[in-house]
Amino acid sequence: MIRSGRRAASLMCPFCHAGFMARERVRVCARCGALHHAECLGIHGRCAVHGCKGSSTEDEVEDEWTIQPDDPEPIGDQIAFRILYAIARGVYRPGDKLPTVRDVAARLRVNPNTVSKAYRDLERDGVLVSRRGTGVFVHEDALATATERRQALVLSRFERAAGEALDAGLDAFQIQEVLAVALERAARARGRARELAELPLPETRGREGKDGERTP
Amino acid sequence: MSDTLEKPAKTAPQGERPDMKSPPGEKRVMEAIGLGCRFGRRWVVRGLDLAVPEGSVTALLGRNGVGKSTTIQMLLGLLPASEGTVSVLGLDPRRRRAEMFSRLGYVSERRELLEERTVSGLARIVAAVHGERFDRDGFEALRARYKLESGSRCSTLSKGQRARLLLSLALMAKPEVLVLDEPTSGLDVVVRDDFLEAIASFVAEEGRAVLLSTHLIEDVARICDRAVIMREGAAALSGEIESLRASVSRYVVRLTGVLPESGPLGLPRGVVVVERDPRAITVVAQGAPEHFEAALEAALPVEGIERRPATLKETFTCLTEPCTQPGPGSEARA
Repeated sequence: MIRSGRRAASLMCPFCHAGFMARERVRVCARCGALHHAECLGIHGRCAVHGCKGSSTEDEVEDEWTIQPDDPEPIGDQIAFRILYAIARGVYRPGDKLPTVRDVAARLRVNPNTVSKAYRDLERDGVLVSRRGTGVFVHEDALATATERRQALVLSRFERAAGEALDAGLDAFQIQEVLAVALERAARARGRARELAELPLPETRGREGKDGERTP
Repeated sequence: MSDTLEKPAKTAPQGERPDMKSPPGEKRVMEAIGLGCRFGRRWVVRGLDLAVPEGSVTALLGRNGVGKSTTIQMLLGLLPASEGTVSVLGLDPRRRRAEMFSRLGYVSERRELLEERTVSGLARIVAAVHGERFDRDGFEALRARYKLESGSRCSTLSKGQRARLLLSLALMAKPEVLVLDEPTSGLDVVVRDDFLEAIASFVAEEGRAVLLSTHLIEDVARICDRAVIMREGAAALSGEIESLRASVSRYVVRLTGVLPESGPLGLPRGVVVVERDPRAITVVAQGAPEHFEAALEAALPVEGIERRPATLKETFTCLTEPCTQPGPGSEARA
């Protein structure tokens, strides 16, 4: 893909509530991962997400507001999940206004109809509400739905990966090991390795190199 | 509002019609019915039904040589149709071409410019043609954004600069329809992104539509919501991209025996092989899964079949397959 899509991206800056333009400089809260305009974060001095007290930011990154055009998942669904993740993570709070269909379409370089369909789907699910003439907003009760849907989606992804691993002949213990490694790598790549220390992770040492699926 | 829907059905429906079941009241910006073009005795395009509804970005897809550019030329009245009717913005392009072109933007695949003119000289000519409709300030803004020097001669521009200049000129004449023939072929990622972003903003405005021909699946996946797929020897398929994609499945077939390296497999018609190993093959096919699973089991020593949704690329591989030879001929890509 053109750009790495390693982070579930938010739709607008939590400080100024405007969207991000293509190739604009953005910075990421090291604690919650929310994107900010580089300038806004400079003004605010710390993460502007409600409830997040993150004060350090990662270095400036290329904006990662991406979709994967050739993913089997339709682009409309990818956009809908981005929004759900953003709500679940607190980047959007109930009552917040979403960027316009037009802005999102131009920014992601996708068809406006695809974006408005994603908005409509989320509206039907009670996550968004559109107010005639003023725009689309996060529904007052959206947080529960968004959290639930996020859980379900992540679970289904892991289920598929676990199924593949079982089919490939790994046993349950090996899969747990692989999962621990994967989690560690993903967290490290996001500068969130510290969180792992708080987790009761399964023992990952001691079987090093046995199955060759791990690099030291 | 729905004047285009009451077109007299001049040609009788031939064979399978593409989905004409657009929502009632949906306005068609471009429409062709039973379109055909013949060079001598050879039909390049025949019996093509095509509709570009308002607000859509419609992709015109098909293998090389299937008649996409010919179709676009007929739609724009640059080539006479041997049969069928065309209506663009409610106008007959052969009779009222000047009026049609004042409301339509076209970027041809050859990206021709008046080579001796400068960028701003060319803009003045285009502005003179379009009169007040042409947005000079908008053009200047785009020109600056795309870093085109106003004094550069057109003959000195690179491929990407030519594409950007043509796009800016087409957009700033404020057309209602944009017709783009292979707009992003041969362009680098940055220029392609500019094109896609421009198309997305263009079509977001009320009452506009885009028709584009392309081979780049990623562009289709991003920007297009409908597609017309031209096939050799069969009626074109058309519809929303998501429903076209949903109609195609990918089957990974694990085999109990070992297949020969090559040679026909006797698979049912319409099944296209995308990957072939001795012990497993991956095929894509359009239609009801039960039907194909039974047919695959009849043709091959099947151990297990796993069905997944097809990617867009696989969908188009499957749907653009020529339909001239029946049966095993459909394994051309094995």
